[in-house]
Amino acid sequence: MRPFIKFFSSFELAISCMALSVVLVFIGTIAQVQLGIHGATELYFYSFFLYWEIPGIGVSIPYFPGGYTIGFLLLINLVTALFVRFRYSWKKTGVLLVHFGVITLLIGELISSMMQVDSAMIIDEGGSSNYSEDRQIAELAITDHSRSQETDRVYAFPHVMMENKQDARHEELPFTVSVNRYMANAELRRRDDTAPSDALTVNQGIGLNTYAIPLPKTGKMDDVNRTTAILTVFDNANGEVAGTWLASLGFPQQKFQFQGKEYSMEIRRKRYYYPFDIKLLDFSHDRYLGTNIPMNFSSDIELTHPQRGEKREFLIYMNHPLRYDGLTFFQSGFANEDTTTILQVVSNPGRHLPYISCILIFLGLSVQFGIGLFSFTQKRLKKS
Amino acid sequence: MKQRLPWIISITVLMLYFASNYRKQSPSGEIDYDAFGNTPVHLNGRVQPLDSVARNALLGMRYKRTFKDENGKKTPAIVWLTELMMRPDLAHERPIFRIQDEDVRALLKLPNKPSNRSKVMIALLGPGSDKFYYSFSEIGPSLKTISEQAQQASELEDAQRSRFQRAVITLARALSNYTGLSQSLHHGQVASFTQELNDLEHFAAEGIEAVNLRQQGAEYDETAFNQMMSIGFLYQGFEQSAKLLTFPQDTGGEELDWNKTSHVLRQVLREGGASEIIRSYAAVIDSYRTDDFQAFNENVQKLHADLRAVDPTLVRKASVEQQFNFIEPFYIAATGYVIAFLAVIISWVRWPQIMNKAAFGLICSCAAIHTIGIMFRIYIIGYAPVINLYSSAVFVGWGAVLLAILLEAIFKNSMGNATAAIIGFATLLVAHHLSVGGDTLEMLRAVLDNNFWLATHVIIITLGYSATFLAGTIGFIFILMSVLSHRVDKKTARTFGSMVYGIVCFSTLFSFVGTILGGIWADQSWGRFWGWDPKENGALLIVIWNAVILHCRWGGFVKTRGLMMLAVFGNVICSWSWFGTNMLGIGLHAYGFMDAAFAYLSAYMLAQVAVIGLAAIPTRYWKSQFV
Repeated sequence: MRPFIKFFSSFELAISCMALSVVLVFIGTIAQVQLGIHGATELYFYSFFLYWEIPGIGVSIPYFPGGYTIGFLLLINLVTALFVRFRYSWKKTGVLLVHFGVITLLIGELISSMMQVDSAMIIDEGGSSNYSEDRQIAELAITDHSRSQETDRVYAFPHVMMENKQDARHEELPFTVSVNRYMANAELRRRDDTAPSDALTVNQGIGLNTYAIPLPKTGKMDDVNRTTAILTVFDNANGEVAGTWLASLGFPQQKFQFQGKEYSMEIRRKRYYYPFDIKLLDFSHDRYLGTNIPMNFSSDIELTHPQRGEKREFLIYMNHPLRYDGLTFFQSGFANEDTTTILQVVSNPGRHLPYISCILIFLGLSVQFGIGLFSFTQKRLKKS
Repeated sequence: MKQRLPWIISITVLMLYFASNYRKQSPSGEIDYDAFGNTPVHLNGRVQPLDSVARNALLGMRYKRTFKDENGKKTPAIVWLTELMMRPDLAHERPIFRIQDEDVRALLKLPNKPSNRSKVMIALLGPGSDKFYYSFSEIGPSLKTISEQAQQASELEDAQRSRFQRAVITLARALSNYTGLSQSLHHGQVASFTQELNDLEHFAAEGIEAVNLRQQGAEYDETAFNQMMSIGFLYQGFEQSAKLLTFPQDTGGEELDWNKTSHVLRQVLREGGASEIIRSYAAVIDSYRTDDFQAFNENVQKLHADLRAVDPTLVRKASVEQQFNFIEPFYIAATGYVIAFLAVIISWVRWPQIMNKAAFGLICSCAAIHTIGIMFRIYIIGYAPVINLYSSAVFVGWGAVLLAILLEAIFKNSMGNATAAIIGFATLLVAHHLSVGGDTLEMLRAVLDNNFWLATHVIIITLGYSATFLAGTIGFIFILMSVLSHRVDKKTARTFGSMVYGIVCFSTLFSFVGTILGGIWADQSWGRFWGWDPKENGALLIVIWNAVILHCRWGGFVKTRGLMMLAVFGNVICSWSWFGTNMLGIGLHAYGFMDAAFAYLSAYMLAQVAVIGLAAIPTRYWKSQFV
């Protein structure tokens, strides 16, 4: 046990971890050029190992520790060092504070990496919205249009189910949707004789004229992963097939009749619903006079929370987001000739930790280097 | 007194030089170009004097802020701009477009020009850049080819363009800037602007009536109508090509409303009654065209009086920027750093005390001038000093120089002087090359528009860069000195060690706190603390590397030599975070790919690695034996 603890609390481990993280951050940043910021972050920083696929065999071997491995090792090192190696004295208060700060920082980033959710809320001027859409993840939505005139009932199935080819079924639905083929990203083409055989199984809807070929997933900021699937609907009672559809992100809802009721299917961005409404009163986009350099974007919104009886206006603009219910709404873009606003919605339970760590680290470093500087000047004064 | 003499002499020399730059810049001929250059106009989203417009425009075409007149004499940019705006026919003959790319010259079928230099000078210095300059008249026939090629090239992403394509795009931009400026004050279709205004006022009522009658379907004066139409077309074209906004108007809003000349002309056409400002402009232009220099100077004064009537501060603010242009504080400071460095070198060979003191005096006064330059920029733009890559270069150098002065004051071993001179000069040189991109006092993009964070996060992190470079440069010099000379003994080595250690501590504090403040800014405005953006990662690398250095020293893994090697590698990391990350062209902090800069950056990094390699030679082969 003793050599074990000695290893984990060692200076050598701390330095190695830091040196490894320098290499990791560098290669991860270079990789962003190809993979996009999001793609490279997942692969390099939010992972335990970087893998290299041996060409030809299809076997992947880890060749470098990922962000989680280095982060955890550093965390263990810091904590054990505090118990084992550290000699507590007044002179070391600074160092102690800094290390607590770094521990907070690492935990904060760990929480964000696992729990932070980014999504976008798109609202037209005069319109309102009570949900935001995930920028990365899609879902399969089956809508029952037969309930009433005003409200539809939506059954949403996460993309993981499609990815694992799990059947989408719900006790209220008389049919099951099975996934014949799933593509994380795809390119759409006009259907003709050259289409692959599984595309030819599609016998309903848009897929009659269109087929999809798979593309590698992209992590670039401006590119979209066009999640696509070939789906078959069959009757729960007798297993009879009602038809096969091609569904892809960006397609309109494809309606179909089943047992006399109208349903539709759609692959859409994953939605997060909120118990409140946001209405866009006005969007403005100011540019510097005579140029195209943006000076300011702002969205004048009205927030309504019926359960809390809340209704208020708020102006969201650059560096000035709306914080509500643990969510942050900030101005991220616009569309339709400045009549539609795009608000980024972020929920991050760990967002307060960096503030604490900033204070700890600032105090710690100042105290530590202050003590160092003081004793240095004392020495020099004695000399002279 | 004798002790202070080197101090006093060095400071006086530099200050005299400084004062000499402050004198009137323009040739004291008959035309008062300085007064005209002080005229405020609106360009790139901000009010600036014509002097700045001229300098930045010429910099984009000729890569210099001055040009050579017929007699080969260096002449301020405003002389050229005045001619371009009022007598474009003359300006078109001036060779002010620098076309260095051979393929572009071949495309335009431009002849190779002989060098102006004498044979001796060519043998010594090469043919120089004179032969790359072409006039608008020479390029004119190929305008269409250029715009076609530029169109093709602009469809590609920046990083994919070839050198030829980048050169074509640069030339196309310069040309559009050139024509835009030549069409900014007057369209040049009639000789006398004042006459045009008079005619316009006189004619307006008649023309408008014709147009109205025609719209109502009644009988109308066809000549008047046709004339009205052709004037309308002329002004429409004028409106599209003009680049400067010249007419301020107080519309009761927070800021003045600025418009182009054409806009005002159309207003005169619609409503009659030309404003005082346009009349003054017309008078200035006409007197220039008729070579009536006395009238020109008087009319410029009248123009300024009219502009002052709209907003009393307008001309005064423009004159501050004009003075900043005249003084060129960063140029003087850069020159001063070079002289100081020479003084340090001499001090290592002869007169160590005196020369080092002189160098220190020079460095201090350069730092003062450097500071004045930064203050000017803060005043002009109204924001904290670091707003773009250019100003970060100026500021990194400034921070490093101040820290080095502190080191010199404490240790008095000439190392502070040497590093201050090197970093001060190098960063200002980098800044100069970055300024070729255009207006360095540009407006802030919306996301940066926050003085609190600009003043805290950006300043602190930039000072972190300063300190990292300072530590690395001391390490660099130390390694060279110890391996190649006998100068370093045990005591010197220890002093150097504590200098670098102290600076690394400072750098850790600033880069760490600066990085976290950046995260908090991101959280404040985007709701996320850390997004793994390249620039953020770069900042993180600096923090971690400084932490590595400190831990290596605390853990006793490195002594002086190892510390220096690590500090020099800090230079590599810091330069990558500063410029390398911007060259990736992705993320929120991307400012575009810089082709030439990439070569320089690689060379700089290689030099650092080479010196680290040098330090890896076993110490028994070093000339200084301090271990």
